[in-house]
Amino acid sequence: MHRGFDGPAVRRMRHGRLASRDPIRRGVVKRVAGVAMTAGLLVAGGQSGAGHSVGHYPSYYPDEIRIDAVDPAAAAKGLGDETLHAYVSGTPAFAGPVPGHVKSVRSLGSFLVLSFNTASARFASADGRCTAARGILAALSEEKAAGFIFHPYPVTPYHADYLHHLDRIDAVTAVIGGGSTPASSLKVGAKGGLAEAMVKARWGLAADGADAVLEEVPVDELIAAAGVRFDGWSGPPWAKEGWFQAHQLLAPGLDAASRRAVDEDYARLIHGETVGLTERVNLERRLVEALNNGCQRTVVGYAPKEENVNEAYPAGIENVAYDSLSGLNSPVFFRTVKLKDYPWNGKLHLGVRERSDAAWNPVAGFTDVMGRLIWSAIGDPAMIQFPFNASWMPNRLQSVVTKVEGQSGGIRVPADAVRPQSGTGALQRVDARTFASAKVTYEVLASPFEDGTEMGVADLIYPFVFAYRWGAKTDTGDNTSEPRLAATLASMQERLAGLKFVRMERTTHAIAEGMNIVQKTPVLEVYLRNVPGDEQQMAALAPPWSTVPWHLLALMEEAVIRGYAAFSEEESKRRRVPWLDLVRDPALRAKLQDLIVQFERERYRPETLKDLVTADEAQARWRSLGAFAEKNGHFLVANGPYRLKEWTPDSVVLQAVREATYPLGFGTFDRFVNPPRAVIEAVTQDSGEIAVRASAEMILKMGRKYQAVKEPLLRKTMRGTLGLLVVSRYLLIGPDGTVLNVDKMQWREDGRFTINLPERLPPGPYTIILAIFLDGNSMLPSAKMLRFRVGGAASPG
Amino acid sequence: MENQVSRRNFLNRLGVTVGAAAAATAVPATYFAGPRPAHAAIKVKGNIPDKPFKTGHITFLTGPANLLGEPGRKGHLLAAEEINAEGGFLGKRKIETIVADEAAGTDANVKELRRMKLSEKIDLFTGVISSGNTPALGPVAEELGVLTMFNDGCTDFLFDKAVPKPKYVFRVTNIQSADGVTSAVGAAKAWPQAKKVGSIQPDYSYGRNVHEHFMLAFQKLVPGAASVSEAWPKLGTTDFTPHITKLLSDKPDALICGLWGGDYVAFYKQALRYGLFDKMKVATTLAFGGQPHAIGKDHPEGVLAGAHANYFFTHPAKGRWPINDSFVERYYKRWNEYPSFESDGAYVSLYLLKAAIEKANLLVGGWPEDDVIISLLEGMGMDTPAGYLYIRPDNHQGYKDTVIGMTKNDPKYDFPIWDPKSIITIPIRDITAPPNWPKPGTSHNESTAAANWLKTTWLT
Repeated sequence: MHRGFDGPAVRRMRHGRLASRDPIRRGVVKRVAGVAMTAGLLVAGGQSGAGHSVGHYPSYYPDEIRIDAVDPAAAAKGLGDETLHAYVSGTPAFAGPVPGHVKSVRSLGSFLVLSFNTASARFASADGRCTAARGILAALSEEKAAGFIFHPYPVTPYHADYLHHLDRIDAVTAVIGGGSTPASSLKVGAKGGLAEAMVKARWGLAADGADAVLEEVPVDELIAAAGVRFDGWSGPPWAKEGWFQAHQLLAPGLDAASRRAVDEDYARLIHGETVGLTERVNLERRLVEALNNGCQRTVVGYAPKEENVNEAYPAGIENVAYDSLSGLNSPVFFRTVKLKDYPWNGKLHLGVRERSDAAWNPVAGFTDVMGRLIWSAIGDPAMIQFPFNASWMPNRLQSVVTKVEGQSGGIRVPADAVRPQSGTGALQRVDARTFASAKVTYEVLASPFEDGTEMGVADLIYPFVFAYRWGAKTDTGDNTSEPRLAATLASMQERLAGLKFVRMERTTHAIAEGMNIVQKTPVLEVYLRNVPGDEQQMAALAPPWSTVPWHLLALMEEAVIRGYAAFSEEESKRRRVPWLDLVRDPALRAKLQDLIVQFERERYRPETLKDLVTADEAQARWRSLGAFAEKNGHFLVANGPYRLKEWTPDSVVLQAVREATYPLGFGTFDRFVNPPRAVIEAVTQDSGEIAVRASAEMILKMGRKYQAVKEPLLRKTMRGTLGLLVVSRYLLIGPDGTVLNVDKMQWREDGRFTINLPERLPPGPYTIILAIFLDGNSMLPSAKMLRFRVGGAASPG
Repeated sequence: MENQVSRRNFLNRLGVTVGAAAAATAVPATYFAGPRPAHAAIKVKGNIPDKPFKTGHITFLTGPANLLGEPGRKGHLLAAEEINAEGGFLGKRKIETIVADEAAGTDANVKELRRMKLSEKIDLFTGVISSGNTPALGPVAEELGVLTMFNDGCTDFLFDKAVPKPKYVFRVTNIQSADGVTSAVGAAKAWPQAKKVGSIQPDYSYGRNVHEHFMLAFQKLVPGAASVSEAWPKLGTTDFTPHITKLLSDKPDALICGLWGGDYVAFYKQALRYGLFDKMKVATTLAFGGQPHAIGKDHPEGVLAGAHANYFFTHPAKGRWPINDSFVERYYKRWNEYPSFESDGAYVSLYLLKAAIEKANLLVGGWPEDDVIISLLEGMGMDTPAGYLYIRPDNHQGYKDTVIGMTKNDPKYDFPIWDPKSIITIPIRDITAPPNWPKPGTSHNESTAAANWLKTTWLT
């Protein structure tokens, strides 16, 4: 599993404590060391005198964001006349050439997957299917459809673990067409726009009874299906891994026996049941190989997604970071995008193709394109996925991981730790002899919620209670289960050994001369079992974080129990009740207001929180929520960088939270804009040493312009005024295809990267795969593969 | 009438020079920066170790003040690259810079300075933009005994109170109180009839300082002037229209604005929609305080644009001060953009030290001890891109004549610059308290020594 980081500097980074010399770390977490003011108390004091600079400016660059549903023609017009800044998750319909100021960002858009009708005798056997698949692949290897890239393997160059499969991809591609059934003899169906266009042009679309179906599977759907992005939790930590997506894509087609074998390996991977990176990489490769066996489903290629942005000066935007898989519709976009004419402030105008029909609730809502975009600005995840690899970076919390080898435990969970009970969510003390294999200590960047209530420990713990309560049960007729949360709970239940509130830290920080702020930092420990190997993924498993207050979760729970609405679309259809919408459902609004009045009167707090919240505190919370709803006309209280200001069926306006209590500020994620890329220029082999020379491709801002620069990658090479984080990786693969070693190369003073091969390798053919990654960018790597033989010609010794 | 005469006399006494006259009187005698001709190579006395000269540089890498930190980093790197191209300090010790993000906050900056000194063994500490940080870092630098050249963080408080008797700490950019006073002198010179003054300031100590020092000076220079409208937008304000409409309704003749960066851009764009610039004269302290290209061409002309009382790259004008010509040319060649006052400050810091090290070497031979370098920095004068810089021995503060000018669009640039005819240069000695003037909390309780000096000496 590669995500572009493994050097000592990054290990320091991953350990969560400040590594102040690490530029990325500085960029991401600079506020934790000092500018992380969270409690909301602004005090004037300190020295007299002046100094205009302010070290922290809350929220991100645009002070307002407008998102409109616009059709592709209108989007093209808006981008062309510079009234629209970007078109998210859609393709504008330009009448003529694309204007010069309109640029695009490219991410992995969709997979093209071929599946066979296994009910047909012709394709009942693996041989039959694979022979036919080779024929179709041979035909598609010449396919020129716009946007399609032939790549008959589920792990793509957009995945961080691409390097681990390069020899396999090469091998699969090399045998295309060999011993195949001519594709022309098959009836081929299609699903999805690109697939239909390809099949129609090449074979004609089979109306029914297709032997094989070519399906376009959007990556967005794949990630959404991986698990609920509930509250501030972001789904499975390994959601961006190539092997995981391969499992999602291909496992459903396997027969029962194959599926069992594959799922064993899959379970080992998600439970971290490997020792060391080499064993893990071998397991990933074995999983993907097994998924490809049998040819029930076969990946034939992928289609990158192009999203357009307006880069004109002065009306356009710059500083755009995006995710390698999700593109612009990812949290990092709003946390970097900047209007060109404003050092900060200004109004950002975005278009999406369709209005948001999904309900707006933070449990199982915001599921469509526009909804996800809105929620990524209003909500604030605990951690944000690294844009160009599969790891995570801190957003609202810092973590330090203590791990012991083996999954059976070794860390004793303190007796005063608690664990929610399945079905009720009640917090119970852990058993006397409870052990875990990892302890994650979190420092939370708390901040007040939009209704003015201070974040407390109850807010951080209640998502656990909620998940255990709603994810556990099948329907019992009392509206107290939500199947969409079942996967989230299942993942947590088998891992969470206990959680413990440790202390509340309060510190004062100066953000400008004479302007201090009091930071409130709850510290909690989470004890885990069956954890993956990557520490950031581990920290992302069950973070004590909520982007909505406990009282809003409790209000929604009660609404669902009373049958006013359901959290998810599926449940709303099944129960024939509305999909819970905290903003746009007038009927629900009246009911919720009544509930708030009742709860305020009764000083209601959930039973599980009675040790953490007093009746008076609960009453104050309901009062605050009622006042918020009265003033704003909705109940969507969160603590993210933007708030909902206006909405119509086709449009929303979000406003930056500029109160100094919001702990993060612009610049935090700027390091992820225009990521640099290493290019392997030369690989030489001399006896037992392999030497690599590389260049750094960078885009540097110079005045108002950006300039592409390519320089030899040396120790002194800088990315403008900043140093580069350089990580190298190589795999040594033995004659039988087993990975013998995964390690970093030695970076010599003269700029060469070298690999010293083991002195005594058994005779046979070997493969080296290598790549270099700059600032965590593992997308589209310049990877090289080198084959050599030991015991024959060209032996490296 | 008598007062008017006094004011004019006073302005004349101030030594304010306008436009080309300023540069014409200042012909540089030395060529101080950039690649040297071979014959000008320095002579080194004694043996110099070739170990790297480690420099700790804390500045803003993120956040709003990156607008200031980035040009500062570029100035520092350019100077380091140039000096290293000659072999380093004394031709032997190449500069290695460790960078940390000032946005991490004061506590973290203090810890980082300690780490830099104790673990990394830095020889020099530089950078620092925020006036919230220099008063915290200054005493620590003194305690650690680390030679320190602050580029900015220009609060009067640093040497008034936090480090009243510095040994190791120096600062290159002008003292902060000069900011408001410079704008006041510029405004009084340009608009002597403006009696009614409006003020829009960020609602923290900088805004209060600008307001106080501007009004203090302006009321002395324009008798009868009074504040008629004050607007104090909170940090984070994005909608300035309530402040703009209030200012318009109070009808001031002139406005002093201390907003900066994105706040200033949002303000001027919103103010344009209300015709504010047609209805009153506008003076600023920081319109040209960031990177020059940060301001668009829609910015109105005729606005008194402050550059933090320090430097704007078009002044001294091309051909009149070769040091500036050369600096701008080399900076542009390296970074493809024009320098700001922070670029100048960071660049000059390293060259100032270089000059002190070279002089010290000639005196004592070998690599000089810090004490010798410090003794030479004290009282050192140097021609810099911004003009003549003098390091006062009593407080280690750098002083140079302040400058300000009116905005004008020039087809040569895609951003506004100063109208060359409007630029005024003010001798720094005329607007700052002299050596050993009583500090706040001694014989007076004014906010700064400068404020007390202005009150008690100007036009009295």
